[in-house]
Amino acid sequence: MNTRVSAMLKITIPLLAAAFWIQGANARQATISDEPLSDRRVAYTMHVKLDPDSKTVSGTQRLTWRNPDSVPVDELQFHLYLNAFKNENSTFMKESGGQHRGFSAGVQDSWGGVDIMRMQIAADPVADVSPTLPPETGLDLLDRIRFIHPDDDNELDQTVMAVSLPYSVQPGESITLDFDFESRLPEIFSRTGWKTGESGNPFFMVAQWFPKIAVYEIPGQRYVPEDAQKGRWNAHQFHENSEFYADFGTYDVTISVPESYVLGATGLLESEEITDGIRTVRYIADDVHDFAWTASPDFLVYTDQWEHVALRLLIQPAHQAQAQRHFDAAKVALEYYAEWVGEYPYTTLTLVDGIGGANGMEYPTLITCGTIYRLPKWIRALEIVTIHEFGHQYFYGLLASNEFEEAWLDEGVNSYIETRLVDAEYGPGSVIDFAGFQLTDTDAQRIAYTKNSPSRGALFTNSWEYPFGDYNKASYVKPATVLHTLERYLGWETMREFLKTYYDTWRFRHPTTRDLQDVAEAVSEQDLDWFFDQYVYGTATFDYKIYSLSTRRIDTVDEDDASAMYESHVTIERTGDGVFPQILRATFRDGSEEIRQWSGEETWIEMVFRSDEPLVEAFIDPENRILLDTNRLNNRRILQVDADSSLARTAQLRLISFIQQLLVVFSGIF
Amino acid sequence: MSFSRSPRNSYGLFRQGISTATRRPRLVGLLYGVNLVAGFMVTIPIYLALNSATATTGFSSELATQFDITLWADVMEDALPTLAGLFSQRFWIFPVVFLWKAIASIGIISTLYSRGLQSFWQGVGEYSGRAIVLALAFLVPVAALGVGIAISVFILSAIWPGEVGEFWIFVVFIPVSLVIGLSVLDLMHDYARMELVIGTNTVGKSMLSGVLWPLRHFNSIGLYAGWFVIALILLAIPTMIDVRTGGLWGVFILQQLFLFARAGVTVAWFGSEIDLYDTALTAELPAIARVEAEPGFAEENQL
Repeated sequence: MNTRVSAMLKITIPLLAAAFWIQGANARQATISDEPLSDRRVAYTMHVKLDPDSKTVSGTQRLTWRNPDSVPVDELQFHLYLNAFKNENSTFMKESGGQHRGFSAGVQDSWGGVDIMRMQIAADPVADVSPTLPPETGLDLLDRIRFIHPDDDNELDQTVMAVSLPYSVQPGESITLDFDFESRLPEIFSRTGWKTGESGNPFFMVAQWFPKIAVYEIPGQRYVPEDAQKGRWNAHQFHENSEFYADFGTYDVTISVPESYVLGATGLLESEEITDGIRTVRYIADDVHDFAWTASPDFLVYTDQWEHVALRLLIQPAHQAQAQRHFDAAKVALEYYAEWVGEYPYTTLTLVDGIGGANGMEYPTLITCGTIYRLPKWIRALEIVTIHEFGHQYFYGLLASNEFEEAWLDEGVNSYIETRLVDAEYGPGSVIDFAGFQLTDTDAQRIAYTKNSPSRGALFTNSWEYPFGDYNKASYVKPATVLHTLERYLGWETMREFLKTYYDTWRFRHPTTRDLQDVAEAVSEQDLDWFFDQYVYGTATFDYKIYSLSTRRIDTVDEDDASAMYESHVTIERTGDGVFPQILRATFRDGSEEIRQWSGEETWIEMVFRSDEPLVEAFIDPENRILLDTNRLNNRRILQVDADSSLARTAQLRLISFIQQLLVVFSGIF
Repeated sequence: MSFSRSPRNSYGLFRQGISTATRRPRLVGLLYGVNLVAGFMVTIPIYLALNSATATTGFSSELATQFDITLWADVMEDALPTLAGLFSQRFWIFPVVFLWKAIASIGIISTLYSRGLQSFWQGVGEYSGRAIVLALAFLVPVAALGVGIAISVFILSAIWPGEVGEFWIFVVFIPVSLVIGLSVLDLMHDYARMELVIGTNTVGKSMLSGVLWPLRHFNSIGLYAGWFVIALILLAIPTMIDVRTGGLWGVFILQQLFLFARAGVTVAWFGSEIDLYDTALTAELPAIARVEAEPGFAEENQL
């Protein structure tokens, strides 16, 4: 190589690299947009420190909230979710009995909570905050705090806090509040807290951990009437069966942890430094409605990239061999959601392999997945939970419906897309594929609804108001089945257009069930009241059966139809209260078929066929379009004389050998 | 039969067992037949319940050839009460199988050792009572094994908490311990039965001798393990046969052939063990006693 060229390259390459690095560094941002994507009604700046010994997070928080109403607001409301774990008197503990999704409250130090040591209106003259604050107004708000319980009469619940302001925040203006707070983390059994890992080191999932302002809904927003004189706070206590609801904004969070800890958080890592054994990291997140983070000395870190999204996996050492499965599932989810719903607007996605009750949870740009040691590949639990939690980046994260009041809009719509995606990607046996046993996600969710008291639990129900433990059914599996049925009714292309339009129209805007229906009706150009009233707002169950089937040779030949020699009767009965347009396929002895349609409204109908061949089979919904059907077996019937013992004979012959082997093994024991 | 008195190697013992089984087709057929009848008895309720639920639905053929969990959920919803009722009426099969194993074993030992001079049923008639008591007595070490494994699991869980430990304890340690433990007890039980029938000992002495047998004759463990593997393969193959191979009846017949072979293995297994037992016993006799002793199983077969 020429020495002069070489010398030039030695100078220019580092310069170019530096230039690219600077450009790249400047280009790094939390979303793909230079402009705000949301209304950004809130802005949080926090400096907090984790004390692993006392299991506490303490620090300061500056919150700026903008009044979106057209009238002044003189009260603020906050969620203090961690107070659900404060004692056994909280609504959450009373409802759950210290049990949540199979995990139990810890016995060592299971209690948590948030203590606010200082809360006052910021009056920093330099900052452009609280501009309308009268000069004589007191700044301290601690004495103005009171706990409210909008959902029940539990006066001991402290998960919702109201603060009356000494002045009114004018329309469009902001108020800035400063907090000193300490969050005591409970031993994890429900989403948040700490747990000791395999190595004996602690794992922290720090979620729902800071004083978080509730959503102020203005007239016309969600269910506040358009003509209401003013808006209202929408805050609910933390329940066993409820998740979250908050406004979009920005987060700038600086976290200090011991140097040995690996940390992951919502948003983009802005800076990281280590001083005197303390690791201090700063994360920024834009256009999100929550901020969660995790820390543990045990995490192994893997990174990957999907288009504009930097993927980061924090995984337990025991699960190291499954790192690639996490990334593969996340990329599949990113791909399909982008294609079916819309673009993922954030530049980061952190996958956390947590411990126990922390897993299977969603936070903006951060999800907890969860697996077990040596999970076989034929069980796709890891993939499904990763895909499901990623889907919540849309249905929870971006669309941000009120999970207290309409959980199905997040969990249910997401479950529908999850099942569709998982089945499309992994095919038959998408959930379990072992030794000829194949279980698809859609079928699993379908039978979890149809075989579990299907007449109980409307989708549109406050999440804490499901009796008999119907929350999971009504929020996850039933809505997935409802939407699969809607898809088959409207067609996939229309359904996809509906999903895209719903996303484009309502992202960052807290849509309701009514909004979703409006989009579905606009896209499909159909009135869908009949469908939503029955299966979303109501508890209609769907089942039609072939009640009877008969055929006989007729003596007199119809004058108009000389070939008619057989008259066949099919009686269809609607055994459920749900109505759905029906298609009946009649098959005759020579294999010919006749299709008839029926509105399905009557409780029963008799159809008469005249043909030169006897009718041998009647089949309603032969294309299996109506997944809400609680019993498909009775959709089809053949003549008694054609009774077919194939299944019984096959099952018996196959089982005989199995039973024989079982008996050989059993007798071998003795 | 051609039993030899000389110390045998493993190959010789296996060959002896196979030779025994091939010369006793009726005995093999009896074991297979009882097993088949028991299988039918258990599966008749399945046939009745499924036929009632599906015969006129039109889904019968479809379900027979492809798995559809949503339809199966409907079928089970319809058939489960019937199945549950009928199955509960079939629980007697398990104690019957237990008793059959106890008496069939001593019948086999009796007829094989006597070279057919004593029939299977004569052996059953003569030794059944004591064989059943012996089998019941062996439930004690089976229970002890269960308790021992439970204690081990408790200790291991304390030493090795967490999911990695749980995996190795519950997925590996417990099944392996159960298989090894039950196999060792089955091995002891086999020789205890021989002590009962051939050695004409009391139940207590037979059991003690059977328990000590593998400790005194290590080659019995190798012999047992060899037949265990063969038996395992013969049981595993029918399970793995693709149901689409040869159609329903073809697969059924193929599976039954393997199960017939498995019954043959039972006879052959005992044949080998009897050969080993007799050879070892003869070798242990004092020289003078051996001279004075009546011709044994192996010795007789050399004549």
